[in-house]
Amino acid sequence: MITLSRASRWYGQVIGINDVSCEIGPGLTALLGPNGAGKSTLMKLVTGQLRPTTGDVLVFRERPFANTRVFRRIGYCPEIESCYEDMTGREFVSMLAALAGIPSSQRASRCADALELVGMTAAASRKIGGYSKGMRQRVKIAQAIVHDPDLLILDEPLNGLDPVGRREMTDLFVKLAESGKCVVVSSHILYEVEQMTRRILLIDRGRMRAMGDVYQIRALIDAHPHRVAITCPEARRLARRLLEFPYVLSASLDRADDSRLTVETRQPDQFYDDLPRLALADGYQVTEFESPDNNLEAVFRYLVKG
Amino acid sequence: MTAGPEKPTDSPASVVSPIADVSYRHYDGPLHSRALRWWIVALAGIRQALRKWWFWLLVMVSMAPYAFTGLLLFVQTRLGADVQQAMLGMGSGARFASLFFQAFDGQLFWLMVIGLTVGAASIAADNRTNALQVYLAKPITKTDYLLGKWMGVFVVVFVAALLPALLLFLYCMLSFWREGFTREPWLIIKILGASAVAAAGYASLVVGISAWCRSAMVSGALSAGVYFASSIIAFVLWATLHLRDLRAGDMTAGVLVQNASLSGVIKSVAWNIYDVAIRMPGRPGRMFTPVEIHPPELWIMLTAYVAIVVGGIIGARIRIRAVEVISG
Repeated sequence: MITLSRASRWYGQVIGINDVSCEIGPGLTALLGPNGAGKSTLMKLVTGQLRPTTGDVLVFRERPFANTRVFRRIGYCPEIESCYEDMTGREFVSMLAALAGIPSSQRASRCADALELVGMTAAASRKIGGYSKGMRQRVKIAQAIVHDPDLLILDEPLNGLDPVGRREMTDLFVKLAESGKCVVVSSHILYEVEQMTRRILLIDRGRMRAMGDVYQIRALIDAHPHRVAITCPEARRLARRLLEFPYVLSASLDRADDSRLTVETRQPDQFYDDLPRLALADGYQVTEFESPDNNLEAVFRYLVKG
Repeated sequence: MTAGPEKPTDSPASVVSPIADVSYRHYDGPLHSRALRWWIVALAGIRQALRKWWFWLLVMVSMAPYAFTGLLLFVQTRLGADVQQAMLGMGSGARFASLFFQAFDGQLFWLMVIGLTVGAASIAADNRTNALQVYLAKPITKTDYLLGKWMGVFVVVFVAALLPALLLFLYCMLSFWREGFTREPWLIIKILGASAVAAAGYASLVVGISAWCRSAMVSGALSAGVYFASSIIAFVLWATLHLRDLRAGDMTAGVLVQNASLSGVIKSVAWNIYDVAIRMPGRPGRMFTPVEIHPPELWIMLTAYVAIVVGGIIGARIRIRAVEVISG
């Protein structure tokens, strides 16, 4: 659905994105990167609000810049502070539904559907000026989905939402992606992105650093072995035994808490298989273990911060 | 007549679930490509203006010059013909057009204020909230958006200018049918033209300035500043250069300088449309012998007017961007 071919965008001397090539198809893709990485520039290129300085951007095989045919099939939820304070939520969604081309005969029911979906039916008749940040976020999402677009671009859509709201919206995005739509979500909240999708597009300083399944990407980062934190009353003895495994590179005890042990390994799957066996055989009481590395945050940290 | 089969009342299928169905429902209806997409944008702006009580107050106040003119006309019907002539100074020419123009002149300031209330925030508020990103990601063009914002101001100011004029027109038509009202058949066209001139001028100024601001307050202050500054400069220039001309009873040269302001340009174009002479008290010691002032040169004022309208629209169009592009 989205194809970027060596796309670059400069703002004078400032690089927005630099030589980015990628294809994004149906399903949910998370767009990740630190502040100023170029996420918003990429989204604006895709939504046709910016033209690439060099390279090409195609959406539905057409150039999106000022292309109303493409806009008809896009739903965009930007990260904006606020919107029309004097309008009610229903009016706001209805106006944008009208701009999207929904005929007046079907507009009311379609707006009602969209508002219900984001949990705003009860507050739809209130002015946006009186909405909380989370409610504004929901209304923005409603206007993005009201015309049932094939491509949904969501810039920090979970900002301001309470935990229940985050869960609801996450489920909605997943459902939309499962129904064959292309959903691109940018977010800083990595653990929530992890709940939504495993497919990521990571950009940093305008360059694309990685794209694909987060666990596959993690496995490819050889420079950083997996770390596994284990809590066990006999941590020192357990560390000695674990170092006998050839794939365990190091084991270190926590100075503050000698029941905490951190192991580094290049074969995490093998390690996860062997650890329970060892614990059962030698009678170690492993009360807790976690892998702070095998997640999106680790991938983000290693690829972005080096 | 046979009774149909009874509907089951308590079977699980017939019971409406108390839990709302919030599953995603696809939209399979049409998506129209509208020719008048700008009207949706305009309508949103107009609706917001109509909701404010003080907007209606301004509209009422702006009607006062026409109400006053109507009142004068009503009073003169109760007085003798000589008093009528002296009080209203109406000659045998386009006397109703003259009345309408003077009422229009009195209303111009309020039309500017109405334009400000409707248009100062029009694009500035979108700039502040980045709502342009939402708008311009929908299937509308930049031109649709700008036209919508411009029309949102134009329509409101136009109706505010036209409505009291039409009411007065109706009153005159009903009351002065035999007193020469029918001798001015183009009056209604002149009213429409003058109202449109004021609406287009103010809409272009206000929207043009609004596009360059990120706050309604700054936009309103700038627009008002341009309005008042140009009026003050024009007045000072006129008083310095041409006041003695008024005393001498000749305003031919002075009228151009006097109207070399934003409101003056709009007024002058409307004045040319009404094509009437204004009478002002002139020579010292002969206050009841008024000086006739004719409208300034049309081509000069029309050029200035077109510059204001086109400048405002082009200025806004240059500035309207969904994203702020940093250069340098």
